[in-house]
Amino acid sequence: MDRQPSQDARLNHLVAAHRNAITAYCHRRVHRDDVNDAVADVFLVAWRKIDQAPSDDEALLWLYGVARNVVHNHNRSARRRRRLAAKMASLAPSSAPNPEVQVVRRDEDERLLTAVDRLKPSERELLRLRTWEELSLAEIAEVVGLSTRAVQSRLVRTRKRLAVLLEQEERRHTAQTPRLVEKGGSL
Amino acid sequence: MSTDLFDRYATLDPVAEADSNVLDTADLLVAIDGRTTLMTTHDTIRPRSFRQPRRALLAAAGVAVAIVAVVGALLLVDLGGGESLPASPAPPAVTAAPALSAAEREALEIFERYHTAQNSRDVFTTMSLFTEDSVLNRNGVVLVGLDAIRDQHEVDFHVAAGSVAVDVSNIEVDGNTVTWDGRVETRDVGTWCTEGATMTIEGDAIVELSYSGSWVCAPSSGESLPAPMTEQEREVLAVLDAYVAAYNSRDVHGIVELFAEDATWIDWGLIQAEMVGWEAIGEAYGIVFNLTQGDQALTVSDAVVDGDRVTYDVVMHTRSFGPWCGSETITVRNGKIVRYDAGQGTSAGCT
Repeated sequence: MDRQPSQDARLNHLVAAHRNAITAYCHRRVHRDDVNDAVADVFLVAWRKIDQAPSDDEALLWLYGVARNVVHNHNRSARRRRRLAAKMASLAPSSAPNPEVQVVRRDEDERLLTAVDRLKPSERELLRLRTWEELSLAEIAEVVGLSTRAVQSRLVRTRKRLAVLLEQEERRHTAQTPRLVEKGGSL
Repeated sequence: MSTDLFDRYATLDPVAEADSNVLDTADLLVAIDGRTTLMTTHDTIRPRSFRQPRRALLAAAGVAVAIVAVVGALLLVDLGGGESLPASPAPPAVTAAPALSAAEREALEIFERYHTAQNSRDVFTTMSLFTEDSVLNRNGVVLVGLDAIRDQHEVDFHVAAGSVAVDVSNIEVDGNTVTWDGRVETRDVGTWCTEGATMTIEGDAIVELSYSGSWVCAPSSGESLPAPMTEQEREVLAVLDAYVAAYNSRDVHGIVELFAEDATWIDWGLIQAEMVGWEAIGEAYGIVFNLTQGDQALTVSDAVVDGDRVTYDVVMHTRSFGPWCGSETITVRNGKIVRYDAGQGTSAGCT
């Protein structure tokens, strides 16, 4: 049961090798103020389960799996905190902006993000792992615990659903545009 | 729309424009370490080799306690001539002179800042108190300069996770030098003590920090030391550690392997049943995991081991039931759990 010095060295190695990737992962999924906490939590879990950590290339995928759980728990806690804060302030629950909102510059981007937000969480995660973490189908399968075939199938379905949702957003935007122009005009 | 939706979404990666204000590796290790100190699970049942506190931190943590008393004493010295302030006795451990010079006050202030930073695992504040010429003398090993001292502190902060009980005495301030004795009692690695640790301050910087300690200490005056942990108690904690790990992995087979073949398993909380033997216990955990589907984690704290049994508090976070907390006891003989007792538990007041 004794923890060997080499195990501490393994943690240090994990941190050094994958800190940036895990930080990026968390940054894409939690509020920017909470990124460091989430990253530390990921590596804390890694420290606790260092014996289970695979070596080399697979370690990052394993850490992504850990990070998925940490982010899930974190966001759930954050939602509870927001609801409580809203209740205390006698305000309707306000949704804190998603991380990606920070880089939205164009309406069409915003509509795409809105459509992505309407995907199921599991679909959204597959999409992000594919596009932002740039994982292969096999790697995604490793992270989320599905077969490669299942991941492929779900991504195809996600793409179709996203197209439908985006089209709905586009229609909604078109319907709203005249009213917005009338109210705000152009600067 | 010619561009693929996935490609478009890829361009909206927030990391591309993320702040660079993220933890570097050293800070991250410190942050992880800070969390481990909050997780009594690992404070109480962490394997010995990872719990062993480093001496610098132990001395530092101990001194910080006394520093509060020192500052209090200084305030009394400053205000002692006031009309309405009642006289208060100085803390007995502090032998600071009743009237301190400006240099001595400054030395104590740096002394306090150093130990506050140490206890916060704040490497930046710690290092802000040293200069490129500063010297750290640890048991005769001399480290010079910011890089070497920083490296040592980072190692200390990383390794010295865990709670320790500290007693500091004989703090003296003489000019720009602070001297103290430190005594650190740990539950499973014995007692570490140092005599005559010194910190020399010039201006607002530590120019030399020197200490030498030993794990062979004289008995503390007036109080008996806690009995060292026996091999049996270590074994009990090791089994608890393995149990928590298997539970959090939802490894029914791994859990059952930790039990004796004729073990008794009693749970008046979730299952409300008494089970005897491997098969029944395995079924019980199957039911538990089935009832608590989804993400759940068992966190153990405040483990108190006494002979062949350990009692500990648990908090379990489940998607189905929310947080649940209670107290459990396991009895271990010959390396196997022979009895598991889970109380009724509650979901009230759990966090």
